[in-house]
Amino acid sequence: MSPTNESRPEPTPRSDRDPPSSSRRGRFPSPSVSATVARVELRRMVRRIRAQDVWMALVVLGSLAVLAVLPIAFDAASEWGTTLASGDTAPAAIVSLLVASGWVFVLAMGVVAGVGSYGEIDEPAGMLTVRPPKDVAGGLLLMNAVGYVPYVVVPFGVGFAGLAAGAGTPLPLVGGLAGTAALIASAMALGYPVGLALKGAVRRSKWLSRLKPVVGAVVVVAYFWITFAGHLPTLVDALSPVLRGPPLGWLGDLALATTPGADASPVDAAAALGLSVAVVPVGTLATVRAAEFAWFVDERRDTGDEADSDAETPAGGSVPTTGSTRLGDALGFVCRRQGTAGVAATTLVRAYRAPLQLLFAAVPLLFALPMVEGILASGTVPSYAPWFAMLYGAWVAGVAAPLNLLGNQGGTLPGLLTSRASGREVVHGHLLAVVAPVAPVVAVLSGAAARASGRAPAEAAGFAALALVVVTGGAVVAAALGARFPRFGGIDVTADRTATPPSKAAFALYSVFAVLGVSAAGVLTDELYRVVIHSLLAPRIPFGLSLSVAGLERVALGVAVALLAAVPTAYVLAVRRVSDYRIE
Amino acid sequence: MTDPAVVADGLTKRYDEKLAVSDLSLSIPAGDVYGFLGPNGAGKTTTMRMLTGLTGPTDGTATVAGAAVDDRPTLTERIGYLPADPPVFDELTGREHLRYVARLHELRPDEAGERIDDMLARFDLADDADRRIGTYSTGMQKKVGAIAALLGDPEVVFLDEPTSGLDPRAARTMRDTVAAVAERDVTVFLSSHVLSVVDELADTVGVIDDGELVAEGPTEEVKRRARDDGEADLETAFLDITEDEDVPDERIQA
Repeated sequence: MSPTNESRPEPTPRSDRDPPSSSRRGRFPSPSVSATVARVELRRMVRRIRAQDVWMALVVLGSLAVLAVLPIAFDAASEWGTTLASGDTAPAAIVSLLVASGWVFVLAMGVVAGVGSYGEIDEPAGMLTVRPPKDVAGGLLLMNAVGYVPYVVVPFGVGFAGLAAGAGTPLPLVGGLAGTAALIASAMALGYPVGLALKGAVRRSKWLSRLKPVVGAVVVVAYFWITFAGHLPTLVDALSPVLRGPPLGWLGDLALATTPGADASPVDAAAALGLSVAVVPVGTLATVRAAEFAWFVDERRDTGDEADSDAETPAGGSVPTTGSTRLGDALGFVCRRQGTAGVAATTLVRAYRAPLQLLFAAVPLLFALPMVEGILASGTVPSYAPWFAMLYGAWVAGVAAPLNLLGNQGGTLPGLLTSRASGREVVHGHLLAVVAPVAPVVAVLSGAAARASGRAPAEAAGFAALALVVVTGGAVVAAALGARFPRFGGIDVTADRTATPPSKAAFALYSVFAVLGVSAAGVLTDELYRVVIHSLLAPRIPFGLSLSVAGLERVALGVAVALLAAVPTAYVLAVRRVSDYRIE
Repeated sequence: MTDPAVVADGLTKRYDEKLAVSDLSLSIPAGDVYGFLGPNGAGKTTTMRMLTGLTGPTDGTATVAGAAVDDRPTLTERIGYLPADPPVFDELTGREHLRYVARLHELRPDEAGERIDDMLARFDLADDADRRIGTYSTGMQKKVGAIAALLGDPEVVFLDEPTSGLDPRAARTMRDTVAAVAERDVTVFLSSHVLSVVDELADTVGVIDDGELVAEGPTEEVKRRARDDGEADLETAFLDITEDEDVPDERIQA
């Protein structure tokens, strides 16, 4: 016997073939084990968010936005409480509609959670060899339900507190609490297994796996379209027959059951409570089944034709040379140095195969949705559209790769730095990778938008030419900022995918540069733009100073000259920084 | 004679057109250390995933510690598994992670605490136990994973490359631990490319190549099979057995 064995406590004698412990048997998850899983998963989620500045910033911003709205919600609810107490039942219908809308929101979030990363086990080999899947699934269901408590309980809690204040009694809080609890429990118990079942279906189908990114993108765009373009009330109106009718309408009766003057039906309130109590175990069982369906599957992944796209197959009669790709060969024609072509080809291939890295460049597009909708609705292109296209193009060209050209390399950075590719080739390669595909598109878009907004053909051509300059210059400056302020830490985008965004300093400085550059160009070349910028700036000049339109032009000229001068300087800095970079 | 701890009968796994494991049959006596060898991509991990219930076989059946591999409630109570990439949570500290695993096994807190402290000390992790696992080296994560795999007092423990990424001292501790576990009649299913570890610990060796079990027998016998000059050597045996793509039909039977 090994000496180390002496310190090991003897195991409890166990029959060879004992039946499994009672908590592992049966169809329902063990409550205590599921609670343990939920608690630890929540703790992990909080720690993960706290460790990632981008997510932390989003949580803080979201919280601030909610906090800003809460006093307004409280005041409105307080008025409704007073109205209800006076015998007018009109606000009851609004409260019921809000409660039912909340149910739909949690249901949708449950589906998203199940089909997304919160329907995954981070370490299945650890978890599923320690507990049967039912306990893990139960834990994740509970974790997701508890995770949405702040999003639902805080606004509804403030709302029912307002009702109580208006009614002059704390009683509305009792019904409100019951209604909110029933809302979260029943909606998550139904939505989460649906999401898990969808995940299982996608994993079993090669066709659905292939469609997944497209469907995901459509859902995200639709979500932001509805949110940013102000279509939420329209959607609620469209759903209102369902939201007001049974059984969703009963939730409102439950929530208002103790509110004086609300005239809520006690029968409907009891039905809502009873239905929720019945739905939770059914949804839990469905979650267990759906989890097994989603987790125990040999994925039918769409492996794509990545290798084939780069090289002829041997059957085609042409055996590719190792290290040779069509893209690399094509870029080799326009590059004097192989290092430049290699860096550019690798950057492009990585962006194509791991498009999550481009997520950060796509975010500003969401804010363009109202503009796109306006164009579609009115059939006219606003005069600022070509400038927006140019600004966004410069943004994409910078953020897509050069703004973190060192950090994006990940574990391959030592290989790149010790390769024969010089700092100049690394910078050139990144610039080529973004300018070649982005600049022509932005030029066309900018020119087309200029023409569509009523500008003369020559002016539109000028826009296109200016777009080429702005995008290229922007990419050079981004490379310098990326080399000076690299970021190596990634953030979790999904359960198994991380992306490395540019550093905050690089992001901020580049944003300022891009806005200044496009604004200066706009003021100098576009009468309308000049007037708009002047009307925005003139009233806000401090210290009693004044700014004429001619003065604005002079300032813009100074800024343009400074920024143009910054481009070659940035190029030199980027090359030097990459050439001399040392890993700390 | 006690029942075998691991029994596989015609275990087969197919991913689309690719046959990962073909008609694998095993019978491992309780308390044995079974060294499972094979080249990269031979089907070792797939076999372990089938035996631990993580992956369903396309065909065939298997029982581990008397539990069918699709009977997860029973199976999870009787096995421990350390995959090649240790399944640990970066956001937790080493001690938190092990307490979590202990709670999942429903161990009594006092018993679990004592066992965790003992194992942490044995693996020289006591001083780092309250740091986040995300800050651990690969070897330290492997140690936490190994402790977690043994925490529930499994009847059969599956270890996939348990010594990879460990420094020589930690590798020695791991080998001693496996030996100590085996002496307590725990069956160890050990997959490793470090043949000296398998040679030292395994009672029986199975070699899988291209999804097929191509050799199996007591370690000494498998070694002798490779050379007739008395210089028994597991590495030579492994190379001989897996050398030819046309797998030898003849199996070494114990």
